Amino acid sequence: MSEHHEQTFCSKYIFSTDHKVIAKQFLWLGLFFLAFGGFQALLIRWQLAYPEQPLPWYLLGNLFYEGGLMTPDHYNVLFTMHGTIMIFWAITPMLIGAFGNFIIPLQIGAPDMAFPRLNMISFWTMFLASIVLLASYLLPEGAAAGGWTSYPPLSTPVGGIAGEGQTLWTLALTLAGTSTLMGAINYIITVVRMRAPGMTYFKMPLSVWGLWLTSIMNAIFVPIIAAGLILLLLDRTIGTQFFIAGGLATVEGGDPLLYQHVFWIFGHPEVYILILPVWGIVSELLSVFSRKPAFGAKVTAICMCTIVVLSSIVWGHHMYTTGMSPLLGKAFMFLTLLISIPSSIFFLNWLGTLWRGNLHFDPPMLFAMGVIWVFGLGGLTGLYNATVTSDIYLHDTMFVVGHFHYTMAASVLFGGLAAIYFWFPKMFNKKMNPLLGKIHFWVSFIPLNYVFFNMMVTGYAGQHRRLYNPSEYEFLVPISDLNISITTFAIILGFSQLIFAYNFINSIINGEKAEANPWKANTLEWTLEGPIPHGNFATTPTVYNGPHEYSNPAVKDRDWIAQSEPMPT
Amino acid sequence: MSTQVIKPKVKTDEFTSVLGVLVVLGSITMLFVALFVSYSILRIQFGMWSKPGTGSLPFTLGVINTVILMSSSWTYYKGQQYAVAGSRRQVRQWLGLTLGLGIVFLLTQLNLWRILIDSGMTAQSNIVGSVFYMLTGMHGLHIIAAIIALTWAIIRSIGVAGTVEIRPIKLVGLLWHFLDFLWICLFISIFII
Repeated sequence: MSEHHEQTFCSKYIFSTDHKVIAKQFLWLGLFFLAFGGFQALLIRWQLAYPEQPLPWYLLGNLFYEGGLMTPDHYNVLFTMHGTIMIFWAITPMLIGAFGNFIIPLQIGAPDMAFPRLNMISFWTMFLASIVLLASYLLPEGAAAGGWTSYPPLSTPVGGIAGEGQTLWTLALTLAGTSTLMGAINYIITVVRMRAPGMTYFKMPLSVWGLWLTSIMNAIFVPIIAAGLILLLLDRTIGTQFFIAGGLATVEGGDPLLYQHVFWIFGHPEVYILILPVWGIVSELLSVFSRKPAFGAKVTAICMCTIVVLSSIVWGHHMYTTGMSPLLGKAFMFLTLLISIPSSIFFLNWLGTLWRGNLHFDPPMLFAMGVIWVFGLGGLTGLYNATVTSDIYLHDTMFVVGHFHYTMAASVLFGGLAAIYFWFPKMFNKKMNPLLGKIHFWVSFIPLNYVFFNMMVTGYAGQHRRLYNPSEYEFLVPISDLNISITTFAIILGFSQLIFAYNFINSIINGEKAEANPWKANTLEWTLEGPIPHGNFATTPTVYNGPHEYSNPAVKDRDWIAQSEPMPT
Repeated sequence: MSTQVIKPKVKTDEFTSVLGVLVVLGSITMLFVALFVSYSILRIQFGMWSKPGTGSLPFTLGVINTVILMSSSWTYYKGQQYAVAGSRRQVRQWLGLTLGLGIVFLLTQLNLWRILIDSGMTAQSNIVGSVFYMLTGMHGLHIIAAIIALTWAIIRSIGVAGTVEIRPIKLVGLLWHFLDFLWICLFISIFII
């Protein structure tokens, strides 16, 4: 039964409970912080290439620092906030907040999320978290500066960083985590309870699988970081010493290593949380643009489930250098290497989807194929980090930074961009400029590979991460030129995103009206004419076919058939 | 002229809401699992752990609080039974009593805290104190949330004259019984073991 309601501007756009509007709110928030964090990356790279030289005019040096010169304290704030912002304020809102919200109800044939008001609160909680985080910049002693991992005792007042920036950081992160939890509850229950008739679990598109599994992991692991943050917050505010030990401690019994365990028991699953949506989306996009069913789709879904389980027992590989017993190290190493098996399986499934496909190189496809490349490379370099012997050398070097930027930044960024290009016609009912999209791909792909591959080279040469001035070490002076060229390409990468920004914003304002199904995709959202009304489907669709029914010989006149269209007999 | 829009409402059934609450409880469980595991590690490493209930008064207060919460779970159960039977007055009485017991629990907790602080065990004095106040404090915060939720549930369930809406009571009930169970785990691991 439908009710006639008056919708004010406030209830339609600001405090909307419509998942499509909330998705866009998250998208704008994520894109803003992506730009913010990306800009910070350029500032970091400048410092690494030209240590102790003032920032150039195009990096707005004079706006941020006296004389355009970054101090070591500023540098610490930069890499801390860059990491924090990119993970929690860019990737999470964009992939999980925006695309989770937009895709899930539409692709499973539901009218909205299971708990629309909770959905709305989840966005505004994230907004509040953003304000708290940005406010920390205004503090006299600056924002947080203990690294995004915030290890004690550096992150505590005892022997650590002065000022309240770190405290506000902890608060902001707790709020962000709460927002994520609210979203997770919604996504999990919506997928379980609101699938359209005929949409069995294995008829769900792989994008939904990725987002659903991510939400399950979020519900389990975000509370763990919350626990760690609460203990840290107590250490910072009321003088407990959960994480302080040794000479610094006035209270006996604390343990800094406890923080590392609690953090990484969350932290490792978190990186899989960040990439699962992309795995699902890429699996789907490769299928659409190869006009073939996703190769081994069921196996891919099961592999993703296996990785969810395995990811919870490998956290120790972030802590090999803490002096753990070699036996424990071996155990973590074995389990970590084990994860490469399901990952490789669905990676091969991606290749299987492409093999002998009818490939269409639209921008979403270019970015999806880009993910194959960067995730493959990044995943392979993970093996060196997983192995204890090589990790003892590589830990905390730029090799690790290169590795996780390949797997997290490059893969997730490209996956997110692929998703934006793909679903833009459905989200905004306009077309993006495809030529600009293709140019954007190449001017991103090439510099990105240069930057992060060579970053691994500098790491292999022994350059540690979070260093203010690498050339202070004589053995690093020979790679100064490499650092400079990395920075040059990073700046190119950064400013190339302006092409995307122009394309995105201009298409929203001036773009041609998009047709209902420009990609001839078969999932349910493409059966709707835009703009999609509140409640999505006029009548609940019935699902007959699987999610990637392309080039089915039973369908004579075209190479696709919608999920809700009965297969011709 | 304001816009008239057809706004189909997403009406989720009771089972869906119950599942949602169960996921929330799962997340709260993970939070306390992490806190309990941290407690275990700190305690094992510390060696000479003196239980906060070593004085007879604190231990007694702990026992009293356990009885209070377990009774409140029973009064909640009665209230829910009467809700199913449709008896508004009984619902108001029994759930109101539950609410009262919850508030008494909090006051007893604060009293217990005051006694322990007076005897020298603060959050800053030693690790035992830090763990104690942290765990009981986190539990207490969730009890406050449950009290607010129960107030909402009572108002929602008997808000419309002549009927009793059961769903709010059922949902908050899950939270209430869960927090009772959590307290029992806390009591055993802090005061007894």
